Amino acid sequence: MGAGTFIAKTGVRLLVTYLVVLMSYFIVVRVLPVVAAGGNVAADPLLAALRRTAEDPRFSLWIDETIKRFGLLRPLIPDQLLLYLGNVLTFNYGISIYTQKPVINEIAVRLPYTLSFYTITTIVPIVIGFYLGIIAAKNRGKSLDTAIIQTAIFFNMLPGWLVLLIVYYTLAYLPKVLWNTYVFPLPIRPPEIGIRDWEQFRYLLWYMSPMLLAALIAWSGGWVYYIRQLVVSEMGQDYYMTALAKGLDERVALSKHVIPNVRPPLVMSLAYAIPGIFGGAIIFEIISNWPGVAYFSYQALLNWDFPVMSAFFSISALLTVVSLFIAEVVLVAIDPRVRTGG
Amino acid sequence: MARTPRGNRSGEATARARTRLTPRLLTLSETLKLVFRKRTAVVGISLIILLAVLGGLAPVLTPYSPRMRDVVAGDFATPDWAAPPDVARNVIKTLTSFRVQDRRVSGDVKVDLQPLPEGGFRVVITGTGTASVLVVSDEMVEYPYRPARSLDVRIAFNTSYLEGRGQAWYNVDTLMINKDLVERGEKLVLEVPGPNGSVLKYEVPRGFYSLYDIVTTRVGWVFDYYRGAIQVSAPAVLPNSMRNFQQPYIRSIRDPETRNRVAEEFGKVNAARELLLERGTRLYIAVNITYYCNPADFMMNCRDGSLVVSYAPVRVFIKGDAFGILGTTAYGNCVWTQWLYGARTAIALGLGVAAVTTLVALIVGLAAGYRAGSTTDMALTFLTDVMYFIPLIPLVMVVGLVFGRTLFNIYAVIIALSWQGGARIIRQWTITLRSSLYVEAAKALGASEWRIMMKHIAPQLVPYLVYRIVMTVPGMVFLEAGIQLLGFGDPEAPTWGRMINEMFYQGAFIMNAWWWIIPPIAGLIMLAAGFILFGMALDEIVNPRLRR
Repeated sequence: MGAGTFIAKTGVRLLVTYLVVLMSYFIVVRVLPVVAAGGNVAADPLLAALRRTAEDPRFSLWIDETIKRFGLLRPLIPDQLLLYLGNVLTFNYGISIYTQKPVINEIAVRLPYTLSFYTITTIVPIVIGFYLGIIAAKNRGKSLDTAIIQTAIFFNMLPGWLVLLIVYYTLAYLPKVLWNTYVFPLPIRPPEIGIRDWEQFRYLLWYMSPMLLAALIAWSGGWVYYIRQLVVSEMGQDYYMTALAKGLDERVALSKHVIPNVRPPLVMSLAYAIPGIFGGAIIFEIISNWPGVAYFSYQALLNWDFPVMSAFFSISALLTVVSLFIAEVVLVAIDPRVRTGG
Repeated sequence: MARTPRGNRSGEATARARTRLTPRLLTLSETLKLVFRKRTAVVGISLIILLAVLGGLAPVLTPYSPRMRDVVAGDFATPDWAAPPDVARNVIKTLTSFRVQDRRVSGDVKVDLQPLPEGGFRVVITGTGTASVLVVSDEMVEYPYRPARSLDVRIAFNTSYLEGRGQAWYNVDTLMINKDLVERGEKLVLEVPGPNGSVLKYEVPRGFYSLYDIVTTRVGWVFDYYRGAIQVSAPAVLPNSMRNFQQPYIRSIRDPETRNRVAEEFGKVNAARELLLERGTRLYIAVNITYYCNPADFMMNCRDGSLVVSYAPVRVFIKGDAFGILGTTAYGNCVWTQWLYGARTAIALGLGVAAVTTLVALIVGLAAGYRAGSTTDMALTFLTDVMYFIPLIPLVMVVGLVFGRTLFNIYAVIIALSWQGGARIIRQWTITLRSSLYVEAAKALGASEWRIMMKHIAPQLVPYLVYRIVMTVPGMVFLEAGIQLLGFGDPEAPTWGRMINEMFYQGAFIMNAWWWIIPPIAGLIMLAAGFILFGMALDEIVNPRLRR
């Protein structure tokens, strides 16, 4: 079986999975509420949300349009399901029920906020983890290694939001309550969407800093531990022994032999981080009132804003497909044994 | 990494890489023996046992319940040991014996007061004419602290009429009286904004407060009397600005404009503080019963009237500003109680859910791995793939909105979506073990598939399963807490997550209520540390490649 066939097969498998995921999402969000209400279509939360907005006469036009777009008056399966799949696969998400603006625009406006936070907090922990992990591996068995590893494990076990709460309490609320000064801002007045001047940009950075700090603390530990374990296990391999026996310096042996072997799993892990770009850290965004995509979708969920919910969900799932595809193709490129299976 | 328990794919990749080496598998007892030699593992197990014992003994260690309506002290009460001795503590006293202090009677009205056997009293008034009876409690509540912010008086009485007698008009007004302030005739001076920007000084007598007055509560201000049998069981919780407006001295101001101004000003006064104005003060309850039955007054239509008032003992609960081991929440719930029950839920549910998840993973992994490449395997692999795509937290929110935010629903979704990682790894182990010699031998002897899976393969996996359960517990508890923090958790569940939710959204941070902030966070960290230290030690033994 050639690499091309393998890639094609993987692609088809992932695509089918994607379709099944979309359908199961439709069943959970559109069919289950109706089933839970005993088949009563009037209990559909989407219709209820529409009815709520329909009280405003200005929106009667687009309500008709929404009903037509989702085929709300037709049976759920198969008519609405097919319409939904068609809309989602062509990225035609419609208009948000809550904000009454096109979903794509709403997401595009908020994406930079999620993206800026998420990219920094994905890449910086890897860099920190890479260097600290290699330092720990070099000193394996010594007290420096133990100290690094135990700190890393301690911080890795904490979820990010818990660290964020601690950061907010100690660095934002305590200085405010005790000395009436601000080190970090309280998560009360989020930056506005759309940056117009330098002052706003500075406030945005300041507002983001506790989130960044918490994310770096919480998310570096795992990488440190993971990379240290990878490097240590590579250092136990025969080729490393051979390299040392040849008389190579430990530093050179590490950079020429071990690190190239450590890189592929790292690239794969990075690929698995792709889906998060869209959703970001949902709890982070919500407790900080960060105006990102996840916070928007959280509000959409509270208002049962189906267009936004489906857009959020399908884009996340699509990014997962992409990341899995990249990861599996990379895996083929570095390890031909995988292709033969089992 | 490890943002959710499902996000850790990289770990699975290494685990998969490790399994290719076909390590020698240890039995459970060998594993545990090795584990107990490690100091970190012993620390971890002790932490787990500590939490389990505290949680298990929760009903013994605390007499309260973690429910929100179980109010034990004032809101944001600091821990007892952290407050100076004169800060208000809980004062709870039930006043049972009463006597008639003052009795004004006209006509041929007879007043008879009998004590009730369970405490409280019963007043029977018969005849035509008017009566005003003041019944006061014999005991007093001695209050030795600085003024508390709130108090709670439970009043319960019912009124009825004698058989065959007419129905008299009456009013029952329950007052709380501060003996010292009333004896000294203290006055509270309200500065009321008058017309044209002037300031009027208005004096309000200090030291007595009407807690429950039938006429103002039931009829409004239209009549002075009430007729009919009623039952009252009302907690009078002070401060209550609505109740401030109904005080007799506010009612007695005749000019409506002045009355409104004074009432508005008096509404801002904390009645509890006013009553408990100084240290060492004494409080008692007075019940003022007025009776009116005049046959000549045809409007009131009363002939040969009667009235029976049965008054239960009055429970006075002055809510302290310092309470217990860990103080109270914004609702006045005991933090220590909530923490203990949180530990109980975290350990029990965390272990239970982790065990169920691992069991599902074991069954699926065995079924898929034993017949790797078959349709079953492909179907199961496909299912695990699909589940990997479904974001857990949004799904929990959707299910919470549709089916209700109960602990059962939340954990059902979590279980349904978190077994696939374990199933993948168990599938790999099974594939490795399937081709080992003793399985071949068992097959040759004619053992059934089920027997081979359960008797020969599953026991080999037990150390891994234990490791998996141990490592899953913190993730499960954190996930529930995270969902609580989003406001989608079970609002009734006694979990640390709910404590964190209430603490974050009910102003613990801005009030600097450290006694409320630290316990749930520390509890979660202790739990995670315990299980992860134990799990790390297990990991080094279960995955022999890491052994140095």
